[in-house]
Amino acid sequence: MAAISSTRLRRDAIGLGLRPSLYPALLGQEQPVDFLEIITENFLGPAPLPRRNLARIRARYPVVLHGVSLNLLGPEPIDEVYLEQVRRLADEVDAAYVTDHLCWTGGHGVSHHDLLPVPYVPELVELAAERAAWVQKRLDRPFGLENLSSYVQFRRSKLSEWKFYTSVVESAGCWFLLDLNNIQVSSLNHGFDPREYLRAIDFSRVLQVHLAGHTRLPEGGAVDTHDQAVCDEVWSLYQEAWALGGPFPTLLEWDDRIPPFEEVRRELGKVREYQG
Amino acid sequence: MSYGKSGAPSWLVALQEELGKALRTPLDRSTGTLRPQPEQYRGVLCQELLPGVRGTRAGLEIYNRQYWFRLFGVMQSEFPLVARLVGFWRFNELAEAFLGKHPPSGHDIASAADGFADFLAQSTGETGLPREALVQAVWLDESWRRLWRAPEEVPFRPAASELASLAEQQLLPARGWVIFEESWPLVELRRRLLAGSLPGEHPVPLPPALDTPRSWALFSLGTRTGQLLLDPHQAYLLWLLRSHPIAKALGMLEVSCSPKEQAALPGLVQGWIARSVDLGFWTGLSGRSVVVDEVGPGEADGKDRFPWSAPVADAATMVVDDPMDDG
Repeated sequence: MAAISSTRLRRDAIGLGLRPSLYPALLGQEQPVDFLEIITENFLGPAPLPRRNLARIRARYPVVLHGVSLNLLGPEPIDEVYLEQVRRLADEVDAAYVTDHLCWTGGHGVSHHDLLPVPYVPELVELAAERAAWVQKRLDRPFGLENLSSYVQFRRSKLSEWKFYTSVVESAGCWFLLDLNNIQVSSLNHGFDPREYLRAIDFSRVLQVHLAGHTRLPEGGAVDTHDQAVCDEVWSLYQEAWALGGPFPTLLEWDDRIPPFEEVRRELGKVREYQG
Repeated sequence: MSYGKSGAPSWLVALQEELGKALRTPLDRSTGTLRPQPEQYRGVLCQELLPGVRGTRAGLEIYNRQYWFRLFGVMQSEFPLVARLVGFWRFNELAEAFLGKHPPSGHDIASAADGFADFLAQSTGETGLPREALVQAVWLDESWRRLWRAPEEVPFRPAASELASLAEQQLLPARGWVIFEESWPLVELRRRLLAGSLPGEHPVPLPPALDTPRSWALFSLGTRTGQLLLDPHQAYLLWLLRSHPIAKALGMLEVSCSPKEQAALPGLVQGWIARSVDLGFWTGLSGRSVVVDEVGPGEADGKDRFPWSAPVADAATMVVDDPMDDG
């Protein structure tokens, strides 16, 4: 398995999710961003302009790939055509690693374009691990799985989410893309202790950590919206994660209601502060 | 180990099928707000779920809402002009009807809107617009969708040795441009909407009809994306050049002109062709006829192809859009 080259991405690198509204700032003056994470599918379509813009971005920043359509736990086997497209894009931008989610996104001819959970049972640990190992092999670079924000839990589940997650990563020999905001959101929706989740993680296998904002619902619970600043509870989790297993690359996601870049930059600046 | 080839266990497949149905349950419109209908989630699915902090069905409602609102957002961004002309409320209703029959299937979420133009053009429901205006707006949005996806091609730059025999040759059109004829100032309205100068979700009024239809060249070629307002004869010439050798196209154009117009043609034609070459409208030469796929309502129903007898437009203007804007 390919190792992450420290010369390509520092272990304490701070990155930002690339969105079109950020292009002008990122291509203008130099920004305090060590790397950018792209949504893989935004650059797989036939339109030439996104690829051209990506080439300009890549000339200035290291780029990693973050997918939303792998459908790792979908009813059908992994889509080899899609996987080959991802591999080519990863080669094209010389991505240090590729990530996607521990979830399913569609099946029976329908793509739901959402990240959907499954029951956490040993049988699916095996299935997910087998597929994730295959994906990593085909991509020929480290492959990371992200934990979800989820809004339902299944009676069939026999394992905690973190036991399921860690078992898949360990069995597959792949990596964690640990999303602390997702842990917080799911803990609010399902009533578990987010710190217990953190303590289950083998930080030597954390490829990257995600930070983002979410929306609290008035009637209880939360939705993963990525439309606001990171909240205090998630920063607190970040501090604890760093203490448990830092350094690790950290990435800020801001997908909706993106503020002026100054504000994004201030949010990025907080990352170092919370590293202590 | 079958390495990535294994299918999911049958119980998971069945569960995912049920969950998928719940996600795609249409939202209720009866209260004037789009709301999930949790009572429609099947009992067999709900029995699989643990009650969360807000009950068993509340989590499904979030996924259900997300499914539809994510797709409504995509459809609105793929058909921005139609969405605002009919208003988001009615547009979402049309989108829901379409997606109910044609749910998205690929990893490119924008492709969820493939086929929506035909659906809209054939729609018989009330939109508050004259049918012809709706059809033109649909095809303006759809034209941009197609141009956006057109592959990059090497533009034709005639060599000195080719100039002598150029007249007998046919220009091969690049896939990154179309001619669009409008009877209302839709191209400009669409630009204003995309520039954010008319924010909101309510219908924007259809501007008054033009005295006579006018034509634009819409293009997304290399680093240049924009729209060029065409003189009527320029539009006709470009249309002819897409499917005829240059000399024949020029002859047909001349026949369509009055004697006074014919006198002015030579100077104008040279400039029009030079500009089209400069913009990259052509990729090469062919000695034989080619069949051109014209974007227009004729593709929707085979009948309503745009007429090309378009006269009048005072001056050619070109607006080049921001090349960074990839949506």
